[in-house]
Amino acid sequence: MLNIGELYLQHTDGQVRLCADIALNGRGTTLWFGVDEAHTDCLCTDRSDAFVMALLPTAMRTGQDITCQTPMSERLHYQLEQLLIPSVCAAGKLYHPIHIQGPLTAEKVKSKGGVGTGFSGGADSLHTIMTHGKDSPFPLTHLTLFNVGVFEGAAYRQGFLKSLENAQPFADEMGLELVGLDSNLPQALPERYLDVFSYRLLSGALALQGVMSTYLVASSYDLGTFHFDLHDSGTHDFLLIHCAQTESLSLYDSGVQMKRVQKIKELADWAPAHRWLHFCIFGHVGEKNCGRCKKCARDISTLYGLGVLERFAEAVDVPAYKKTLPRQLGLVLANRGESLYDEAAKLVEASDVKIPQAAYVYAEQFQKAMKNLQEEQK
Amino acid sequence: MIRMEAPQVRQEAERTVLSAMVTLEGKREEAWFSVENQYGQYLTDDRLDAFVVGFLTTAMRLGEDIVCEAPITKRLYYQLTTYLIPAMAANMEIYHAIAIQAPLTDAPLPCEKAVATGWTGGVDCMYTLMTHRNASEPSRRLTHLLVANVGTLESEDNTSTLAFMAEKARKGVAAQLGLQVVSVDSNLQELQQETYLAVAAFRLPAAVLALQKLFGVFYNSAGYEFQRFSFVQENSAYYELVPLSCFETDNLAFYSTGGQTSRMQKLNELASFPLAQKHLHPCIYIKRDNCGKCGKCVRTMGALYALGKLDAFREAFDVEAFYSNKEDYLANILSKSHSQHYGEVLAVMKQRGMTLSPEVVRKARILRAAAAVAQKNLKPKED
Repeated sequence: MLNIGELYLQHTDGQVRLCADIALNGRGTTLWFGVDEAHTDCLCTDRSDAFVMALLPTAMRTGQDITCQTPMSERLHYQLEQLLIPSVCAAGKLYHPIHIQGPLTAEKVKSKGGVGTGFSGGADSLHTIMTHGKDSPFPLTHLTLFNVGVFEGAAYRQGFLKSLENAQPFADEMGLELVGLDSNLPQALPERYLDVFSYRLLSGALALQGVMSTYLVASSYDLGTFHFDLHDSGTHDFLLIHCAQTESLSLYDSGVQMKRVQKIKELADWAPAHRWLHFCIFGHVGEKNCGRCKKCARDISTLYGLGVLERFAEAVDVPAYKKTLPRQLGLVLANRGESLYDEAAKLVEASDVKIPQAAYVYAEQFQKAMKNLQEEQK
Repeated sequence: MIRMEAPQVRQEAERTVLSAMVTLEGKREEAWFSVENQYGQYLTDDRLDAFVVGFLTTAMRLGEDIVCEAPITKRLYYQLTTYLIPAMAANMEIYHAIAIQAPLTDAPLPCEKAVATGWTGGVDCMYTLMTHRNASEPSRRLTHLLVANVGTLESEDNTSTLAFMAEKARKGVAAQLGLQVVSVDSNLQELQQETYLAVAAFRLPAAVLALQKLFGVFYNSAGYEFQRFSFVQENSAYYELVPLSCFETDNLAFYSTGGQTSRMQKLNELASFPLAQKHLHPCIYIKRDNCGKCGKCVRTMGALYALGKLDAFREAFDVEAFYSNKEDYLANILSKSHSQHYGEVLAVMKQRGMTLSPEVVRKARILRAAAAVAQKNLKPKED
């Protein structure tokens, strides 16, 4: 049994933390979400929703029921118990059916009625921001940055703080309020981030029900590829997002209606993207993309295939990319078993770009190297 | 362009009608939904939500924009134009991207917050009834059954068939569980020549949106598991998760229920539900008891037999007839094993160590051959 104690607030070094003591694997620990004091009223202090969502994968993986002391939203309870938990449990052996017990409420929480989305600088995130401007039926009011697992390594917290600092000028440029949400989820909950990232992002959104009534989760995959890969929660996050809504918070899988390459194509005509597009595994938002990692190869090649790469000279080292074109395209071709790389490869193949023969040689070598690595890891 | 004029409500002898004049392919005709007079007060006449959803697939198939002369709910507009229409157009070739031009409203509507599911008596809705009649969340507990004529009825007199279905539900499961029954009649199918299977996930929600002042939650019983999600243009049940989530308004949430469970698992659970044992009615002949001969009866009886649960359903089916003609029933199922719901029956039989006799296999082969000949003869001849 995973017990989530009564929620309480704690003030630490200019940060306000929404805390819950939990019993995990027989040991007591405290889970928390933190914001700077200026954003105290963003935190939703009277619902366990965020903690339930954060703990859900661990609970399902270990087959432990969840109990909570502070009420959770009735709608969320229904959707998790009746739809989400049975669905993901039926989809593989990773998760086991569990129940969630505790007081329920259908009352709406006090919210400022904000419309928010995360800001990572990636194509999905920027596309959501671009399409939810003042002309949208739901224009954005807030940008968020969550420290719920995406920042890795020993300096993960510095990474979060640096990204938050770098994101502020973009938020100012857009006229949006930036809310940074810190947490100790990555340290406290022993899950592989790719398995659970959708749960984590949703837990962050639920923690901010005090300010948001609508939250847009930028989708990585398009609906045409919907399936249950339990080791990549993004493959079925349309269902996850639908099931994480409450009486007070509407959630959308933003961008799920189109493929990644289409988003990048549309972003090519949006000036802020030329400077801020940041798809890189390394570095922080607002910094130049490294141009060497797998994600850089994929998305820069997409820009190249679209014939718009030069517009992104502030975000990408264009000459360096062109100089290493065979290697970059080889990396994309080698990974086309993954749908997003396949999309990029197809786009380049269909474009005027002539793929050099050396790219195929690189692809073969990358594939061999990846296979060897996998063998070694076995 | 499909033009929709402002909706109006009028009361007739026994029913109240919500109507809007719709101009489709140059013809201006009245589209309508009607309910029993006691539910007339809940018809939503200040917005065109129900009509936009009811005509959406036709508009997209024809590639015609929808122009509304009365408001639609802002949230619905956002979800349709941002998510549903682009996703359908990108994934199914018969559908085209269209625009919706309409004044938008987010004015709150009064709502009774009733909780309903569509009712036919079949396996999927019986499962929804069983799992939601005592939902642990009060706001998600069933209060109403909705019986609708939105394209699924194919009798000579659909209005009287609808009245029969509503009365049967009222005297049957609704009476036993204290649920209300609402019947919605409409002429959507007469105005739009769509294959119902292709548009089912749109038509029933359209009827629900006509009653937004009554319903707060609607359960659309899933015919397929979520794991089979796919954009199949001939059968909207495969991708209903998407339209249902996009039809949500500030008052009304839609769910695809039962999609986490296979049909066989549903039947296995229903076998312990006394109301199902008595009232399960998958048969295509609505006004009769289960005929025991149509495809839906055959596969349901076969499934219950495979699960070892058929005897519990003696009030609903002629179980003796099944046992007397078991080889024919099983041959029928085997001959259609390529179809998912029939194939599942055979898979369960195999799991449980049940074998098919050579005679069943022989008869199935004959049935398959006969079906192939019939199929060939049905094809229009080329001159």
